[in-house]
Amino acid sequence: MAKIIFCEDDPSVQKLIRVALRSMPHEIYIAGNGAEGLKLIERERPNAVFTDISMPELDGLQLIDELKARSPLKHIPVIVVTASVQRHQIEELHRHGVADYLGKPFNIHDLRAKVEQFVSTDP
Amino acid sequence: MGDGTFFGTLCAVDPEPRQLTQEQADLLTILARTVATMIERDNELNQRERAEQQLRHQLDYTTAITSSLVSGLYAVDREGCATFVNSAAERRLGWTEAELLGKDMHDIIHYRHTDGTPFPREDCPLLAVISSGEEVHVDNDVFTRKDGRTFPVAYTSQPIVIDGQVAGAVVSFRDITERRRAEETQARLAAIVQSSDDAILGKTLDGIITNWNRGAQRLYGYSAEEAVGQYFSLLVPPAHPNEVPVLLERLRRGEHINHYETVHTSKDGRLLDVALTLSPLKDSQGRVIGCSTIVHDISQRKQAEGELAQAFAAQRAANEELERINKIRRDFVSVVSHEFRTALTGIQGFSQMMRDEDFGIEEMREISSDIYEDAARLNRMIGEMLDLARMESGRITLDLERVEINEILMRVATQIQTNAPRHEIHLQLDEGIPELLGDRDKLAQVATNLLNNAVKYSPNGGRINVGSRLEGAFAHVRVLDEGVGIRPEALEKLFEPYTRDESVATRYIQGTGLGLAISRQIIELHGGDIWAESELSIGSTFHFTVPLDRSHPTGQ
Repeated sequence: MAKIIFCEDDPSVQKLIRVALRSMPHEIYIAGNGAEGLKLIERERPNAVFTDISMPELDGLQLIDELKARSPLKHIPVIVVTASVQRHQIEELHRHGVADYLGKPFNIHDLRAKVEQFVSTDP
Repeated sequence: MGDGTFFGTLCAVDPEPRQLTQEQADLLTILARTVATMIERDNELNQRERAEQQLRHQLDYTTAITSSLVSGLYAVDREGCATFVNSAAERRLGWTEAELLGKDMHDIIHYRHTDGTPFPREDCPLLAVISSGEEVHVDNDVFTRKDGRTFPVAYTSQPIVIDGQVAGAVVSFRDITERRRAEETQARLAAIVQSSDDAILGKTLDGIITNWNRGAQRLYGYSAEEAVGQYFSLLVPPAHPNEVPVLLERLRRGEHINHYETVHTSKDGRLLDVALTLSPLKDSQGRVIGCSTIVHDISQRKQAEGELAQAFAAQRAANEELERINKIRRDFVSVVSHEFRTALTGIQGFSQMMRDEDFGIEEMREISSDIYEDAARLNRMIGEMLDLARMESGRITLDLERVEINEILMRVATQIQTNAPRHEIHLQLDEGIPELLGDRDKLAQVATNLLNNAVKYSPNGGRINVGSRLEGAFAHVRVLDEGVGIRPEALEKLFEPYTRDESVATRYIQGTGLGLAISRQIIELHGGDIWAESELSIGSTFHFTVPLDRSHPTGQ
C-alpha cells in the first residue's frame, strides 16, 4: 500500500482531501505545517508528498529544500497544491525540484489523477 | 702807472757813461709813461675779451643744459614777459622761443583754467612769485598750446633774484597727461572695485588683508578699518579646516585659482557659502607680492541647491511611499485571492463530490455544513474588506451610546468560550470603570477579533486572560494569551492593513489579514490607542484604550 503525505494548514481543505481520497487504497497522512510534514516524511518515507506553499513554521518551499538536501528523501516526488502560485512562478517551483503543480480550487478528479500518477511511478 | 703803481723799468743804454741833461731826463720820463700807458691799454683789452669769451661759453653751456631738459623751462621778467624758453617748452607749447620772447606768457599759454573758464592774471600763481619772492608749486593746472589745445601740467615757479631784487621768475613745467590718464584709470578701477557687489579684497602672501571694499564690508560685516591688517583666516569658521595656507602657497607659485567654493564666517558668526577667485598680484619685475581675492556669495545658490535636493528627496520619498502602497495593494490582492481560493476549494470540491458521488444523509449534512462555513468565511472576508475601505475613506461613523466596557467583554468572552472549550478564558474586570460613550457593536468587534486571535494562536488550549482597568481618563483593556508569540519585527506591521508574510507571527492576521487593521481603525475613531506586546513561545498581550470623556475626541 502506497503512502501519501499532505501538508495543508486549512482545516476545511484537510477534510476535503480526506473525504476525496478515502475511496483510494492508499495511506493518507495530513500535516498542518511544513515542520510537522518534514517529521512525518522522515518517519513514513511516503511515495509522494503534496504540499501547500503558504504555511506557518516551515512553508512549502522551505520544506522542499529540506527534502532535496537529504539523500534518502530527495527522490520523493513533491507536488505543490496551492492557491497562491501564478503562472510565472511555476518555473521557480521546477527549479526547486517540484514534480508537479495543482492549483486551488482543484477538480476532485484532477487531485485523484495526480495521486494515482505519482503513486504508480515508483522511484 | 696812471694810478702810481710801479710795474717796470725804462732802461736807456749808452756806449759810454754820460751825465744826462735835465732835458734828456724829462724826455726819458715822458717816454716811460707813454710805454706804461700803452701796456696798460693792452692789458685792459685782453681782460675784456677773455671775460666775454667766458660769458659766451657759459651761455652755450647753460643753453645745452636747458635744451636737454625733459621738463619745459621758461623765464619771465618782472612784467611776466618771456626772456627765455627752452626747447622742451617749445615742443610742449608749440611756440618757438623767438615767437615768445618779450611776449606776456600768461596771456599766451595760461589764460584758461582746467575747466576752460578765463584765468585772470591777478590770480596767477606764476606771477605771484614775482611779487612775493616765494617759490610756488602747482600740479593741477593746464597750459594752452599754440593750436589752442590744453594739456595738464605740474609746474614749479622760482623767483630770479639779482642784487637782492626779484628780477623775474623761472618756470619749470611737466606735461602730466600720461600721469593724469594713469591716475584716472586707477581711480576708475578703484571705483569699480569699491562699488562692486562682490566682496573684493587684497592680501599679502602672509595672508594679511590689505584692501577691503564695500562689498566685503556688506558680506562680512567688518569695516575696512576692522579688517585691514587682520589675517585672512579671520573669515574662516573656527570648526572649518583652514585652507588659507594651501591657497597662499598656490598663489605664491603664480597660480590663478578660479571658483574655489568654501565656507566663510561673518562678523556676527553666520556661515556663508562663498566662491573665491584668487589671483596673484605681481610687481613690475613680475614678482608675486600679494593676491587679490574676489568673493562671490553663493549662499542663495547653495540654498536653492539645498531646496532642490530637498524637493528631490521629498519626491523620491513620495515615490517610495507610493511604491510601498502599491506593493501593499499587490500583496493584498494576492493574499485575498489566496484566501478566497482556499475557501472556494472546500466549496467547489465538496459540492462536486455531492453532485457526482453517493453519500449517506448524515455525511451529506456534514459536508453541507462545511460548504456553508466556507461560504460564510468568504462573506466575512468580503465584509471586512468593505469595512476597512469605508473606515479608511472616512465614510463610517460611530454609533455612539453609553456603554459599559465590562459588559461587552463579558458577552464576547462567553460567546468565544463556547466555541473554544479547550481554552480557559479568565476575566479580571475593574468594577470602577464608569459608563463611557462608545459604539457597542464595534467595540465588541474589536474584543471578538482579539479573543479569536488569542484562541487561534494558543493551539494547544491554554489560558487567556481578559482584563480591564480604569487608568486616568481611559478604560484600558488587555487580552493576554500563552500562545506562539510574535516576532518583534512583525509586531510593528501587525496593525497595518494588507500585510502578510510567511511567518508565524503574521498568521495572527489570518483570513484577509484585516482584523487588526479594522480594530485599529475602530479604536482610533473612539480616540483611543491599540498596541501589542509579545515574546516568542511565551505569548502575546494586546492592549487597547478607550477614553471615558469624548469631549476631546481625537478620532472622528
